Amino acid sequence: MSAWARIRPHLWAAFILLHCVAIVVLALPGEALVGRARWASTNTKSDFAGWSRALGKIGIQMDPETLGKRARGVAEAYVDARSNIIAPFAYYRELAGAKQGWAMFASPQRHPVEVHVDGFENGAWRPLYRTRESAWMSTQMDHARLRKLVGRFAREYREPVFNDLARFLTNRAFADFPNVERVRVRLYRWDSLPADRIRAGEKPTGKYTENREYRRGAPP
Amino acid sequence: MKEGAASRRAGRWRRWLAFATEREDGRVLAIVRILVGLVAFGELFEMIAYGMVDVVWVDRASGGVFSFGGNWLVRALGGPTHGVVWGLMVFAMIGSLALAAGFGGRITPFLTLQAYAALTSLNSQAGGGYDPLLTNAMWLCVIGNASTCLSIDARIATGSFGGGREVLAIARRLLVFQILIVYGTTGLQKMSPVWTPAEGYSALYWVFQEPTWNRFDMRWTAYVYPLTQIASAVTWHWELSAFGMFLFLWYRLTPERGGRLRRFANRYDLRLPYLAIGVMLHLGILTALCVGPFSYASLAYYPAFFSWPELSGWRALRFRSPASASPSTAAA
Repeated sequence: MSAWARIRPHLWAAFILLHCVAIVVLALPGEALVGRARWASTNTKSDFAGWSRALGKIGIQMDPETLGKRARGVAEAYVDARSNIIAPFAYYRELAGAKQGWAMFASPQRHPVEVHVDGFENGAWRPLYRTRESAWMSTQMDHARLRKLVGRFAREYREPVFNDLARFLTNRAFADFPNVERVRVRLYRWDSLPADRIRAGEKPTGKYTENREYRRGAPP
Repeated sequence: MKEGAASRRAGRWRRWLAFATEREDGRVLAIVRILVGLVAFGELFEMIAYGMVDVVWVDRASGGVFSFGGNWLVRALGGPTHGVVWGLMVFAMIGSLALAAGFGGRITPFLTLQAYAALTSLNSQAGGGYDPLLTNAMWLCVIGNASTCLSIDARIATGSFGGGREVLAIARRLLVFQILIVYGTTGLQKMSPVWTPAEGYSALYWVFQEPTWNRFDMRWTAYVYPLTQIASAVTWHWELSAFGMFLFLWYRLTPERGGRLRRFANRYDLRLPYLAIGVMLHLGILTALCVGPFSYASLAYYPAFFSWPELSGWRALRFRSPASASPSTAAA
């Protein structure tokens, strides 16, 4: 048996071992854990309020702010350590597409957002796009990838991304509705209601937190 | 003492070597390959059908909506222009079909995964865990040479679509490893109190209220709130139990070592209830929530939990083995 034939299975077994280690390491949750916007989000604050209540029930009194501060310290130290651990696997991740950091519904959004588009015509605003209510742009806006993008505004609002989306929707609105003089694209945010309040007949109401408005003739 | 430790290490390495180089019937891996190719093709086809390619992946400077960088391949090709993105689309779609058909050996899944990963790297705001789940599976098709059977390659090489059949068993085992890591780490990341008894297992109720995910108005779930609590509890604990599945599979691989838990694991096939819950969860997600090809991509891994003799004789699969039966090590 040649030297290569002898050594080849060992190299293969070593590679498989490396792959297993890489998969585990690359599945560790990463930078998203320490994003400034995420820690400042209403949803994260709700989570810490919940944990603070839970700790209170077992006799550990800690206000949500203190708890959040401590947890963030731990998260930052962890992400620093993780960065060092994953560094050797960066090339393998690129080559093999072998990464998996899946936080599926890790912290369900209780303060969601929607994108609303209105057109101004005949002296009044009228809705052009509302989630699940409008036919216009629903094919694209209801696609999972754009839903995800919009959903992220609730967790980590990124102004350049919203501006890009607003420009796109405005240009489409001017093209599709010739009588519309102005278009506004807004972010509507509300608090989801607990089950008992929905059963009591209450409906969620929210407020607009971002507004972009453009005139025909001076589109974005 | 030193010699004893070295001998134990050598013994462990020999067992690992045997585990990593064991061969088996390749038809299960081929089924996964076909499913992964079809899911990837379906996702790309849907992107075109919904008019999403220019919106989500083409750079604003080239007629798209957002501004991007892209991964090394996109940069090497000249950036996320209309031509580059559509070139990658066509390449990835043809590659996905070739993967499903089993044409091109290891080169096809490798190149397809590069094109798919390049596309999905373009817009980090508009993607999900299902993208790497598909590219991971493609990589395992590279490792396992998944077109050995049930493929055009097999037809060319042997004259039979069924082909030579034997492949390295490690690729199928790594598929199981991969999906269990996905489920397990997903469970670990659910650190919000709403997934726990601390907030009454209310997580799925909140998910159902979120317009990002729900397919239709799901305020009605307020009237079946206890059911959503049960579903949340089952989901979270089931995901975390993925780590227990590793132990179970290890016990199935080493029945000769004895012990009460090992005997239990070899008597009761926990894969069946585990996968049954998984199928129900994914069907529930498909019905109620819009999360892209997540469920299809995940379910494409499921056949890998079984060896070909088990899968082909699925009618004989039983949760409880007869006391005299010795479990197949190929099961793990």
